[in-house]
Amino acid sequence: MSPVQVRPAAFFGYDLMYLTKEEERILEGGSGEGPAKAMELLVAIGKIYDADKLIPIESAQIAGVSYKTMGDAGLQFIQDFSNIADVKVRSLLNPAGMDLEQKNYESGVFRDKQKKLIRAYQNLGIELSCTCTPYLAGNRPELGDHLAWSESSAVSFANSVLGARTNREGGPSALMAAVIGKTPNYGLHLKENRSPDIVYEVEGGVSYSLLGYLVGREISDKVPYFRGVSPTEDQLKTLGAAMAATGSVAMYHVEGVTPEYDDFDIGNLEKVDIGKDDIQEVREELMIENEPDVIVIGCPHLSSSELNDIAERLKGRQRKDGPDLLVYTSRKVREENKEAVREIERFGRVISDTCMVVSPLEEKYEVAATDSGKATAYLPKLADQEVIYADIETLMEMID
Amino acid sequence: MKLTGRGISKGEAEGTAVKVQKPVSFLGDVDPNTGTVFGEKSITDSIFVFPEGKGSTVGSYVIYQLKKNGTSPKGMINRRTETIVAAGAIISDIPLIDQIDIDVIRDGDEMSIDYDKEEVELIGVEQIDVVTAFLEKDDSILLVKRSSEVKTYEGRWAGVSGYLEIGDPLEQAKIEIREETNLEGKLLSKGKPVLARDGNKVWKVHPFLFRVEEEPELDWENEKYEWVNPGEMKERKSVPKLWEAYSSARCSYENQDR
Repeated sequence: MSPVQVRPAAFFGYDLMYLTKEEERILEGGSGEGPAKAMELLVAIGKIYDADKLIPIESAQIAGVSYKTMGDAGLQFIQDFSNIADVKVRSLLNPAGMDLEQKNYESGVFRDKQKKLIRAYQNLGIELSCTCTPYLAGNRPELGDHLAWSESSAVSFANSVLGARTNREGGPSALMAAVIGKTPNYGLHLKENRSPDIVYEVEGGVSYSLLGYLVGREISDKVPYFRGVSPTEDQLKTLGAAMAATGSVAMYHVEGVTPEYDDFDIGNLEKVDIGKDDIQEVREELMIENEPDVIVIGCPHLSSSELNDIAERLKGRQRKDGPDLLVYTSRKVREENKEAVREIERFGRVISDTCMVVSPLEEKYEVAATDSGKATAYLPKLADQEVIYADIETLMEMID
Repeated sequence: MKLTGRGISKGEAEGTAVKVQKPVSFLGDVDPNTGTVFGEKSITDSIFVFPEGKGSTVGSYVIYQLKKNGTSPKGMINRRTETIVAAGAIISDIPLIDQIDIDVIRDGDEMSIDYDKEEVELIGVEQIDVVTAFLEKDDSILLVKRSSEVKTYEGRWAGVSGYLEIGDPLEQAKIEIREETNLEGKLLSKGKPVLARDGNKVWKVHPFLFRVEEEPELDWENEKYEWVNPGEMKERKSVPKLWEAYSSARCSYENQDR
């Protein structure tokens, strides 16, 4: 990288974004080449989205960790950049392309490259917590916290369920925000952009995976407001993840449940009914006549209660020559639930640091069954799988 | 000629334009080994002109790999940059300017870009400023058919127009209205200039909307006139960007506080 060129202060565009003296100093290379690059990107993003200033963030969650998605291009950049920068705030990673402690279906070459990439992130000062559920793995933001998170379901959960504030960052922008400890103030950092756009009156007792799959597809990046349902936290995780996969929903509200539902006037919004029939239609659309060769559960990563629920359901069952069972969770949840892990591993594997979407599942499997709306949306394109969507009871029947 | 935009990634560059019309996903649409986009055009060492980026944020790292491989463009120009391309350009030290009307740029143009000046220059392309006045009467717009005696766009339909010979476009527009139609109009709005590429020239059209009450008396520059519904402009064989110029003036009229 060439030395940073200094521009006269008048050209920084104070009318576009205010920079403090310290921020200007960093931009001009006063803290070295890496921070200058990081600041240059934050300023550019600020220009693009008309931000008025940079605001401090509590944490960053950085995508672009799997070698499968990053390839040699991404590996090279992170390696180079790790020599000239360090993160300034607590930073965690998205799932990698493999379990860092046990070999599964990925090749030796893949493991090598993946390890190099992880080491480069470590050199940047980033914690080796590779999960899409950082809020279940020791980093649970609070109401009003500003963040720079990038994994779409984590972004949705942080905004909607925790009332923290983050845009849907890309890998590079989250990384640069981590290096500066700040992010441009626009989008979902501003209260007015968090207001609902449309009200869904939902007939109770639906599958949250399918509800999310349906709604995400319909509204793209709008903010939905749900009425008539009372999801648990695990169900909110499932709902948000599916909407962020079939659409790019980064924020939603559930009446009586999520922290900001009551902060906006919804009187004039369009109202749409979703009945059991609508959900059934999606279910039928996703039905395929095929036998799975693998069952994948844990997209997003399972919570402790979900992991224990699966262990409970497996008790008393006997393993047959059915499909393989792969269950994905964060390393922290895995380590805190050793007994459940043992029970599940009578039938299959509990895998951490990665997931079915960002690991090379396609190297071993062709037809995957899952209960995740998000995985249903992503597996065909990103892991070359034919996907069978089924609820958790049906998946368990497939094993036994 | 020079186009003013917004500086996104630092630096200066000079090269030949390679342009594509569609948004580009660097992950998938660009091969970092060969530096080809959409499997056809090479962007290596070019000024790469495209509307905007899209797709995976890994695209930023593909731009970095292009740079490392020596297959990257020297500079990039967008209509509107999004974060993926901005990040890729910045981490790869590739100058990037956006908010440029890329319709004006053609494949093969020699050009330079400059972040500090927030400017793009089309080398060997001349900018010619003209004014166009749209005269409105009873919801119809006056179109004139250019006579065979004018040197450009003979026989095409146009608004009342002429070269910008004095400094002020508005005064020039009033002069043209008087000369070509013998009318006095009431100014309704001034639109943002519209650019139209024609060979090695770019017409910079300063559009105006006027209200008139009378019928025009044409001079030698036009052979006939017609009052038309505005939408009709798109159907006629007209001078370049006539509809865009009208839309610009109309749009600024609709946005006025009245």
